[in-house]
Amino acid sequence: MERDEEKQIIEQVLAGNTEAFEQLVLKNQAQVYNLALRMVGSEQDALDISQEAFIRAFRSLESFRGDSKFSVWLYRLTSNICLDFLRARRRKKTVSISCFVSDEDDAADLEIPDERFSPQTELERAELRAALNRALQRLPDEQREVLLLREISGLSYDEIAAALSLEAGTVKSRIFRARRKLCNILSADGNFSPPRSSDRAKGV
Amino acid sequence: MSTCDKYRELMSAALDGELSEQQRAELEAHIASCGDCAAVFAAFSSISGELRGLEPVPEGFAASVMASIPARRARRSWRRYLAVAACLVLICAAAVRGLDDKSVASTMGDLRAAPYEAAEPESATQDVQVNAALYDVAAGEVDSVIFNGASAVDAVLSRDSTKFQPGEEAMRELLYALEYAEAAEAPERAADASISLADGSVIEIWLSDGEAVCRLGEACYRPEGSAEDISAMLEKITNS
Repeated sequence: MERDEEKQIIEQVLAGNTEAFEQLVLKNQAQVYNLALRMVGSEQDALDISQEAFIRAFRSLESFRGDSKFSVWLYRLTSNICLDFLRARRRKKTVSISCFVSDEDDAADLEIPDERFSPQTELERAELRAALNRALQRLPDEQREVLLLREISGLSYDEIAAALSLEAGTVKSRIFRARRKLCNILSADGNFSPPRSSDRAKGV
Repeated sequence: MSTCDKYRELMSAALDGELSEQQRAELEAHIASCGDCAAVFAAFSSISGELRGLEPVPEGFAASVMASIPARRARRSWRRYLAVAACLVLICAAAVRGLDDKSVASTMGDLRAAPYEAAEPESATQDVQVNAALYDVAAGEVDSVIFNGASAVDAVLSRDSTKFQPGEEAMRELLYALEYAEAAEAPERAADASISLADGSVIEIWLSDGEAVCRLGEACYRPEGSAEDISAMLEKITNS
């Protein structure tokens, strides 16, 4: 949706034509829902969060000043709700689950992945999707957020940087580290037998 | 390895369309000559491809969003609640945080910066929960602020010696925003209306010269919205 078009719709909504808001929902719902889904990992929670995001967007629409695209503003709102949700969920847990890959992993080399990253069959694809969703939950929040704003919401590094008040360089390296970590988690995932191709790497 | 490491960072940026032509060409040449990097690139691409494939949104989602927003959004009606909203929010902030009246004004900044939750309701009105959410207007900075039912529902509006209890819906609407409140002087006469809260605090409201002024203890505010707006809002409460 072009910015002008977005702006027009927002004007209509603010002028009292609430129904026009539905166009913004329809246009952005897939990104918002998928962003939430990958952030929190549960369909029901993702639905609740998406709904909350649109309602909040509606209520604060008057103050949306158009400095960024509406979608960027909305994704950021969604992402914030997700982060709060995750924090609250973590607080609620009485048993701490240390499922995070240790920080040392950040400095670790990248495992050379095998061909299962190029799934051939539908079953393999489904398996990769499930494994990837699990792996995402093991990323630190700030890495997952930035990666998903890029991958799902399609924001550029500059847009992410502006939305989150980060340097573009930080966005770039966070996304890279997120991908490297996902790759390593998936490589270490017991569902697949790791290849011997790392021998090749070590031989060099 | 460090050469390959450099290229792996480039791969990530390449997938995001953030490389220059020259960087791209350099990366492609490297991938063509390095099996490991080709494998990593394939993996990165595959992860990206998978993430970019969106799951379908459950049917009826948009309709359910539309069903939960007010049917008409009238700019003025939103504004007219600001006066009392500002005061109520401040009052709740004061009650919840145990602040004295003088520090209430400075609470506004905190409110906007940090979400917090009210204490558990203690009174018998526990089942009547008013969840009022404040929305930061600028960028979604403020998350939901939960007021417990006790403090909100126990509010009593006095006007012309008659007492009214604002309905839950009215209270919900009142609590929307506080952005435009600014400091003001209270007129030297009896207030036109007042709202008492369960903890004994009172919000006084004056309406004159097209302006509304609200006072809580020592702190006074002139919220945006004309006296007419505030008046209409009070009518709404007294009729609810």
